Amino acid sequence: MFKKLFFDYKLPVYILLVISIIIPGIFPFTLPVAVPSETRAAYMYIDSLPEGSTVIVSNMMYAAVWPEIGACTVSIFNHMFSKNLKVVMIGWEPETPILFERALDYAKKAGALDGKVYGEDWVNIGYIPGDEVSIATFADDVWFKPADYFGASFEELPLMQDIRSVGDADLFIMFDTGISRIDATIRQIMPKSQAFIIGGVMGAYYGYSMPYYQAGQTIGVLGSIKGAAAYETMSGIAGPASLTMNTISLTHVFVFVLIIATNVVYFRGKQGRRKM
Amino acid sequence: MALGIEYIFAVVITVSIFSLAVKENIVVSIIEHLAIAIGGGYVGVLTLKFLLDSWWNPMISGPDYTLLVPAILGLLMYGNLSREYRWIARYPTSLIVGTFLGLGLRATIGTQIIKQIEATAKPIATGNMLTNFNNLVMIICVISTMLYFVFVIEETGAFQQVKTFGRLILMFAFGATFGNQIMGIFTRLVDRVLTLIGIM
Repeated sequence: MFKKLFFDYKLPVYILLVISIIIPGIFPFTLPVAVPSETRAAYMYIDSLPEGSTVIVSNMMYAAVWPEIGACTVSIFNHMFSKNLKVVMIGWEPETPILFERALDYAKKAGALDGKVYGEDWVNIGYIPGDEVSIATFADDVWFKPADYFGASFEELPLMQDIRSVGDADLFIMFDTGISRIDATIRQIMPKSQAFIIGGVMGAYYGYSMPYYQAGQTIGVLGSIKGAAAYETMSGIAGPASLTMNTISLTHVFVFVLIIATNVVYFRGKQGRRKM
Repeated sequence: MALGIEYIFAVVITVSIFSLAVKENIVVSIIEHLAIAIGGGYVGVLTLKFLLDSWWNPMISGPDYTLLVPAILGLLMYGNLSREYRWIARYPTSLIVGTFLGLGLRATIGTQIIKQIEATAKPIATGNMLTNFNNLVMIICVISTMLYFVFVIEETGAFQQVKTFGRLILMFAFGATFGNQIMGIFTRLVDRVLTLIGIM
């Protein structure tokens, strides 16, 4: 039985797992989402910014981490655009500019981009290669890549006229996907920015980001999908994170049941072997 | 999501990759190669675009021929491809290593050492009992965890117990990280499955 559960039952377990994901998708339900203090702090700060404030969003997401970091980006974009903040986006991964556009599609659907104009309310700078060296250069000179993702010169974009360095923006939000990138952004940008928020990190690096929050170096942190769902709860603008979080809660229950079942089978098998 | 060609393509690719759960097959290999090819091509084009915006155009329109220096250094990196001329690549490599180290060290001390020590060394005699307790726990945990990595003192008596406690704290931290990682992996699976059934 023990052997069967681990080797022969693989496919049924996968199928049951997929079913546990599909059920909340077809029959949606809402589970309460606890809002951690670090997410609440991030929300409160962004919410307190006056209309027209400029925010630089630095993102390192790639397609594979879209479900985690993308959800954080969407939840913060929805809130920022509904507050009429001006957003400058910069990507450090080749796929990031496309994913920014995808996040903007969600903001459009939520109505947060109504009446907003590209170049005046937001700019997608695009991808810059070079990791920490480029990040350090960007901190001092936002214009060192003087054209946006679509090829338009910064001279033609009204929003870019007042943003020459990171310190010119009212807030810097970082979305990160790895320890080396988190460290690089914090080292090079944090001391030069007016205010700094870790807007999204992958689940594995959530714990790694918390010392920066405890030390007061970052105003708030959004940890993976849980942080994004909590942020959506705070802002009241539903996005992909809320649906995903409900589904994950159900799949976690399924995993708990599996852990208990396999332990029961294992210990019963052990007892049986002892009796023999 | 509309049932367009993009959606059908996404569904076919996702289902093909999921077939790996049953058995390794040729479709998975094709999709893997496709992903690498698309990624490689896309990165190549974007990097070329970046070079045009930030290097070629400023150099030509200036004209600013000092920008030829990084280009030459970049070309020297290709010395790695030849055993005979590999030594040429040492110059740009040493420049890159030096730049990264210098940039990193410049800011590490302030942001990642001094600030973190300040945040750890908190008072344990404030007016709030809960804050005192939290600060005390943090100090004990940090010190015991750091002592776990002291290997020059013999592990006996109280020192051994402190090290064991430090290891326990490390395991708590790793457990939390692992749990969060699992949540992240599930997030990706949920996203794919919900995309397949047309909800996301």
